[in-house]
Amino acid sequence: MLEVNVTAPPVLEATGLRKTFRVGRKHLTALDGVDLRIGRGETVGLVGESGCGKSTLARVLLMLARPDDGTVRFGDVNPFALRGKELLAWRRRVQMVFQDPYASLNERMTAADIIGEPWRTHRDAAPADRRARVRELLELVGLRAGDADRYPGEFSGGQRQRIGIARALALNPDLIVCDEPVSALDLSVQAQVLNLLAELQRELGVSYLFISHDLSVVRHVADRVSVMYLGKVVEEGPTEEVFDRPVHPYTAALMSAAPTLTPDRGDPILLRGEIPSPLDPPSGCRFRTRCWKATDECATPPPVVARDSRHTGLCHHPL
Amino acid sequence: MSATALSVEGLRVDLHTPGGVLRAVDDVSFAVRKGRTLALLGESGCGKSLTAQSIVGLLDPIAEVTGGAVHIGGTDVLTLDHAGRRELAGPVLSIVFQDALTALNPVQPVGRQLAEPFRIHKGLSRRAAKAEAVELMARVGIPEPKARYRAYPHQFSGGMRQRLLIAMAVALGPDVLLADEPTTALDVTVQAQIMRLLSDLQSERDMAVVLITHDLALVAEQADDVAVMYAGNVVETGPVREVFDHPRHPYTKGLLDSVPEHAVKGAALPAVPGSPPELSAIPSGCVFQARCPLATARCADERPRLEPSGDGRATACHFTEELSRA
Repeated sequence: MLEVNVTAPPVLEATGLRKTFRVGRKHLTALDGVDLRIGRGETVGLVGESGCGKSTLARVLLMLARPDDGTVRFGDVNPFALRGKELLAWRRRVQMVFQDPYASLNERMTAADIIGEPWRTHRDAAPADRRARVRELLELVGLRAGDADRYPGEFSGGQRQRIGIARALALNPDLIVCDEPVSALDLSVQAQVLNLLAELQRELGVSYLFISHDLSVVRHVADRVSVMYLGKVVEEGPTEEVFDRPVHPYTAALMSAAPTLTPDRGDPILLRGEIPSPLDPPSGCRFRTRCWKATDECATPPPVVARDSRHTGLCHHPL
Repeated sequence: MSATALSVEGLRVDLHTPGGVLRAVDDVSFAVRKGRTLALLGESGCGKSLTAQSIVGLLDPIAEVTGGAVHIGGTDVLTLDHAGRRELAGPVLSIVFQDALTALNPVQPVGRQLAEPFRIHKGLSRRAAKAEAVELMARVGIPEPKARYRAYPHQFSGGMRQRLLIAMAVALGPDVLLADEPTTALDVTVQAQIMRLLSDLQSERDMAVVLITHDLALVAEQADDVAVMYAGNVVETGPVREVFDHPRHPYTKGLLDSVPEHAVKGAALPAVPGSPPELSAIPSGCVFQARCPLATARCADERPRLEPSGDGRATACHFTEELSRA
């Protein structure tokens, strides 16, 4: 694994991201002051339940949605300040691998067309010999060069996901957003794809934002992890520390609720209720309506608690 | 040892497709005792859901049971006609589906749907059935059940809808409850609540539960016994703890090894090569031979049968003895 130098300039740094959507007469705050930092060659895990804002965050980082407030910096450039050609040139630095390899590949295009499609938009990034580069990419992701002219229907789920990964690599991105990249795959195939992603990172030095609900997968792949709840990052830090010594009760509950192969632990933390509607989130700490430690104080905004300089949480009553 | 509530013997299911007849479930056998949970574990397409649908008689028209027997309390339910099936559905046998939104009727208030089994099977009056339904809603943790009686399915969250589905399934105190991926669509904190509810109801009512899932960890936490399926076949069965600690089939072992939970962080995961076979390309010998590290010529010629080993476990592999000594 790559040693991540924390002082090295990050590939991406997002600060104070806010994004709201209008839903009828109400406002839905999908991101409420989110900070995220991803180093070169680093994997950051993003965990949280449905409605927590994971997908909106991914969309903002892919520059598919503009934040209402806050900044995103790639190196020293704020891509949202760019327009036209310059913006296009920045866009290629972040690519995406989608959850469902059946829905995300066009059945009527060959593997070569799919992998080469990004070059049709980003013309100046297209290699001189596209066929040769496609063959290279196919081999890089563990397929055969001879697969170039086959159609998605001729591949298995795991192979299709490899094509999706090759497409994401076509523009030599700095960062790949992996949105549940193995959860739609057969169980016995998931490990193959996780191994491939790790190999590619070692070879190419690419960074990953790894969105997943599977905590054992995140624990295995991520260097650092951010835990989101209702539009806020409630805890972040090095993966092992967050998993072993969580600051935030929500993180602890999430870990406790996730089933494991060795279930000989004590009484699990069973939360009451479900995640509240993001249209009407609780005041102060967003988690207080389900938290067993909540007091009146929690109706006010929670303070930042630092377990150490790299591991922080937002809580009035840290664990 | 308590009585066997459900036993499946030699179940075969064929699919009639435009490309010909495909065998999707082949000689599947397992048994569940009262108050116990058996997990039917496997990947998509392994035949676990078809097995469940055959048991409850809800197979898609293109699927046909072509062999085997399913005994519940002395009756082979596969031989029953429609009316016979209807009598069983609810008081004896019921199922919880994965997707609660499609399983509930969207244009009928949930309370009425919950009251239906009491009206049909117990012949209760409208008022009495409503009282039973409200009590049941309270039991499965629906807040303000009286007021919510008239609400429609879309007015409930995913977790609440799953609670309603479970309420309906246990309404008449079935002997056997099938749960087909009951929490796959739910968030993990809600999944924990739902699984707790299911096991509480199970011990209250002494039900036999068949949990159909692809989640190894859920099996480890919830089930007493497990039947591992691959390409339409049960390849290994036994008590969960023993099977997971000492798997005797290379597929079970491969699956368990590839789970990140056991791996050294950052190290390559021991992956099973290849992917599961298409139904149209299932080999004549062992179904797992193409991906198996132990496969020999014998595995290509001869399909291993699920052989009991006398200790409550059974394995379908020519190399079981070698694996159990390992």
